[in-house]
Amino acid sequence: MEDERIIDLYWARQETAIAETEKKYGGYCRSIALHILKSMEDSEECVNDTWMRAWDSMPPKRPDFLSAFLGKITRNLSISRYRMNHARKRGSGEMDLLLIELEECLPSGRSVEEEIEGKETAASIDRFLYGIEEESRNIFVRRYFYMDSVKEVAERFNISESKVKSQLFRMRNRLKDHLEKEGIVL
Amino acid sequence: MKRSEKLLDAIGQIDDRLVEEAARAGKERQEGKKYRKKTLYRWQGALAACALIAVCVGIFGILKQSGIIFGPYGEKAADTAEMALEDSGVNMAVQVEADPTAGPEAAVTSNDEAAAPNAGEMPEAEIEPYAQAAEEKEPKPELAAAEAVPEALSENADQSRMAAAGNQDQNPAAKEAGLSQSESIADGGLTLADGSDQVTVSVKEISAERVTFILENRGDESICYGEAYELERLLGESWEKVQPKKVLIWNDGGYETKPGGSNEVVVNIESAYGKLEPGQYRIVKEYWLESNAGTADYEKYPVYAEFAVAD
Repeated sequence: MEDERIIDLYWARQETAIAETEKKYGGYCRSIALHILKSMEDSEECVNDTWMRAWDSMPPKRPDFLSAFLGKITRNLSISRYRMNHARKRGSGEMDLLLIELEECLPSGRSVEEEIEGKETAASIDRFLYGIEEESRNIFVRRYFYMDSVKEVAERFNISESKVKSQLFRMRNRLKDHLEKEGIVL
Repeated sequence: MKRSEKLLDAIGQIDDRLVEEAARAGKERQEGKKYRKKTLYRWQGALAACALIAVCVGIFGILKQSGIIFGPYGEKAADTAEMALEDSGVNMAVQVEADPTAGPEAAVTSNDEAAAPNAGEMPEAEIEPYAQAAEEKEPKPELAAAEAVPEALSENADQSRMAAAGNQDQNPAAKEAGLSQSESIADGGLTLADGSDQVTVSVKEISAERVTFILENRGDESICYGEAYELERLLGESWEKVQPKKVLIWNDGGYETKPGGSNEVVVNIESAYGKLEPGQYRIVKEYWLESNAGTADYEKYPVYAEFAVAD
């Protein structure tokens, strides 16, 4: 089913929207979650949570790129879960875990300032990425958005792992210069 | 939160187009290779079949001319074919001449039914339509390759479809959409010794959905081009790239136009860019010299096809 039709189902509040989303983007979202969490069980929960978030977001949202929209939700949920798991395993005290758990109760996990800063940083990264070569750009996004391993990136683009590493190294340095030039302080 | 975590979160908010593009990146190349391989295998099969038929026909011709093949009545094969036609009441020559308006295709049909007689045995008047029809019936490799491409751009669209579409003046959809062809066609590529452009582009027809243009190679070297194109809009005095409404994906293949040849290129504007706002637009195609492909001299040259969208 086309994305437009799936979004229409969400807007019409028809539950088949979730089934159609699962059918079309289940594998895609599961792959993103698995890259971050390395656990089938956790990934499955994140993907299910993604459908719930999508259900709550549409309407009012009407994404231009449904796959990217869902991918971002899955990524954010997976990173949150990763942080929680990590805090638990690290045994860094109940306080860390408690704070992360409490973050879920807040409307947004971040303060307004952080939210604005994050958006500014993302916009700056967008400008950086649109200014570099297509292949380099895609390698960067595959590595740091989709969190592919270097080996996976190399296989995908049919280049050597050392070339991927050197390209990423150069891009990190260029991004650092770019962010400094644009006055982005993290 | 650590700074690296903040950066990780910021990367999670990058533009959807970048996320979408990277989701498909790399895979396209692999799929392109698979596509080329499949196409190659398909053509290998077709070529092998053609070669086999040619060999069989050649052997048959040699044996027939040398009188080795005889029919059931002791006649040579050619005599047998004629006798068989006479028996069935079909007179090949009469059938071809009976309908001069039937055109070359009819000639081919009748010749096919008559077991394709040798040109030497045919009256002179019949040889020409037979040859023309054979040329028209024979599928061109570029056409077949284009048909296998399910993407927005298809090269060498078949003549019947183009004829059915009609020209711009006869196309009410184009008028309704306010589309018109610009008179000037800009150039940007290689030039010939006399200063004129080696490759020229002229818009053939425009509808609300697509633009068809003719890419002509006036030089003495073959040129190649891919499926990719870009759309630019004239804003003030400069041409600005128009962002497509979706990520455009191109098969990693190439098309060749020989010296003096031309190709029709169809661009599905609406599916890629949606409804265009009024203004002056141009399609940018890049080509390269076939002889330079894969060498240090490899360079792409742009050509432009302009058109306007009225209010």
